[in-house]
Amino acid sequence: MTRLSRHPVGACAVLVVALAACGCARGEGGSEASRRARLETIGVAQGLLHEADVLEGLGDRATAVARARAVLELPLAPDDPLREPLRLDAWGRVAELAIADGSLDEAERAVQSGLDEVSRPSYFEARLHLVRGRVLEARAARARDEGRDEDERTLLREALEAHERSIAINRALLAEDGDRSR
Amino acid sequence: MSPQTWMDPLGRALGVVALLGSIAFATACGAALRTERQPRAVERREDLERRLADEEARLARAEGALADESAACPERCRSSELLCEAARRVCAIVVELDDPSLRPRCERAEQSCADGERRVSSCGCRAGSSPDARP
Repeated sequence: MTRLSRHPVGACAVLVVALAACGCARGEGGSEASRRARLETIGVAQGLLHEADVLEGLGDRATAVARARAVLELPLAPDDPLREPLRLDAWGRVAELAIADGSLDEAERAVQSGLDEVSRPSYFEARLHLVRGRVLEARAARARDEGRDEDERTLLREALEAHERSIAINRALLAEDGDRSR
Repeated sequence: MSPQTWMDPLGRALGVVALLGSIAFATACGAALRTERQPRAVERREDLERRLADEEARLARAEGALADESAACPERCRSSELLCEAARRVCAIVVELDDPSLRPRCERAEQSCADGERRVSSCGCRAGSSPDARP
């Protein structure tokens, strides 16, 4: 220290290098930790969605819905490119399970929540439109059973439009991918 | 001095001069030809190298496109599958509504399904693969 205090420029240089080294080490460690945390979260999300599929297959829809909803609670950064597909997939699963339970209002809410999060066209957006079409078909079936023929026809026409919207999105996606790989 | 005696050295000298001249001429011609041919050879080589580089770039692009297409296949398969499911539902609804004016919408949906399947024909999609397709 005595030697360094005699050379203020040298002391400053040593300090700057030491601080930079500390900063770099901390920065690398921090980004590595956040990278691992992100991968773990994505892995958990994929596991939960898979579990929901298995549970549905086993007939345990209530737990399957809980697993799909748990995906929506996972902390993924808003700018993470996998956040949107994972969440839309989860909303789609919640809606499909709700249809299977006959909870059409819940299914419609889940579809709408998913569609509200859409920022770009994707398979998952197309699937949400198809699920909306299925909800409307189920509502039309109810209307028919209750003798509300006009409502049935209106709902079926709305379902038709939802399915056509789904088709349009997938058509565009397939055309886009095809053009890119050409 | 007989003509034979004085012509001998002259003849020899002339012969040497002719020989040297022809060597010089041949050398000059050779050099001229070489300088004429060299740029052509360089041009030809450059042209071949350019064509080779073009071919290599084209091959790399084709390989990249093939790799991209293979990587995108699971996503393309599930899009095509979902598209056809939506098309089936459109046609079922058209039948249920029993409205002839809606028939073209079923035809368009079926056409979209066929187009989608054609677009993923190189992927070898298996039916029912979409539930496994997760982000």
